[in-house]
Amino acid sequence: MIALLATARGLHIASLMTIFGGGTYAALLRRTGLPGPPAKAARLLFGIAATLALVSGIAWFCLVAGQMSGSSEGSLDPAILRLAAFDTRFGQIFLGRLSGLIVLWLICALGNGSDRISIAVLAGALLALLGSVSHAAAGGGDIAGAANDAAHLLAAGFWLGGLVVLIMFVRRHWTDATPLLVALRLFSIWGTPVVAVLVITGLFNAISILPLSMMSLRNPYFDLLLVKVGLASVMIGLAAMNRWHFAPALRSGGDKATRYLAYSVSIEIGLGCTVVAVAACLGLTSPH
Amino acid sequence: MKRGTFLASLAIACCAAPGFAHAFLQRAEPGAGATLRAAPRRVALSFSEKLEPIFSGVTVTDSSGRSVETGAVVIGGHSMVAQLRPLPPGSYRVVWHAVSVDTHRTEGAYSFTVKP
Repeated sequence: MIALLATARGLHIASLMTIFGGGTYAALLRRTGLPGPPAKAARLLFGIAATLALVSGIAWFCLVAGQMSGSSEGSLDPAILRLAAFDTRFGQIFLGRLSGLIVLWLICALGNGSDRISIAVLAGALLALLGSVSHAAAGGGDIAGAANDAAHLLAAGFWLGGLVVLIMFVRRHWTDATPLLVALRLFSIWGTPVVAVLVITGLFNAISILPLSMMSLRNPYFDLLLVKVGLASVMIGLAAMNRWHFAPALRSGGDKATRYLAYSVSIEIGLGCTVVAVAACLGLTSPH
Repeated sequence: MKRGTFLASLAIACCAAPGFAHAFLQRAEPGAGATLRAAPRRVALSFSEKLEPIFSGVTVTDSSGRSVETGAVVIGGHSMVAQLRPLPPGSYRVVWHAVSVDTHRTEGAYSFTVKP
């Protein structure tokens, strides 16, 4: 059941991040006058992500209801599901989010793909609301803590979703370095403050969740955190290689440089998704 | 962008997950293993997280397994309180389960004794 919960939670968060970050970055690209990622591919991406967000969101709620009842059968028990939906904070927030998820799915699945700002705003709101049922909310109804979690999720979402749209953009402009450099610069400009938010909110979370006394290899939460840091270290190494080795080659043009950039961003996306998966497991593990 | 990508990777590396925690029992009256001269009128449990009342609860039973609470258990905020009927000397068992508002379930049990 824990594995199912982690899967549903990870899929839900990753799909909303894809829509939020991807939609935001695509809208920013459009403002520069550049043609964004291919419309058909973008519609397919957002449609799949919205479907995943809806299905995984419902699955997550049902699994959580079972967890709260103390029995996995509770996940399919209408009485338990009703209690969980109407008499718990998670359920009440889920009901509100469910209507948003349905609207998001309708826009992404049936829309013409031109309303990326609206889907980004809606996905961002759905992502941010998860902060209301986080550890900070459980600890003391702390609005600042919930806002911190929301900011963390949104910042991570911008980066991961933005990378997905970036790789689509790279593939569209494979042989033309000029729009690629403009898109990369745009990503960097917006990325810097977003990263600052990520670091600050992440440190706040880390301090509030894991006291120094719990940083032991006997603590499964700490072990998972080490796995996450290990994965992220690989990403850092990769990004450093991009920065100091491949970027100059891209500026001087050439198919080879673009190919390396595409590989690099693709691997970063894969690692980023893995980090989200590990984070989903962390979220189900007691830090104490 | 390369700098941005690098910084993004660094951020993901540095940041902990928006985490979820569990409601742990922090204080209990009477305490676990306590031996009391006078019978307690209630059992009060205090937890590390806010509770979901609908999925949380506590029962207190005597050595023969009969419930000794009177009325409904009051659950609010971080605590739950069960009022007890007058207890004769003997051993009593407290069994609790708690669901925090971030949905995680914990459970536990302990005993206390009322001296003759």
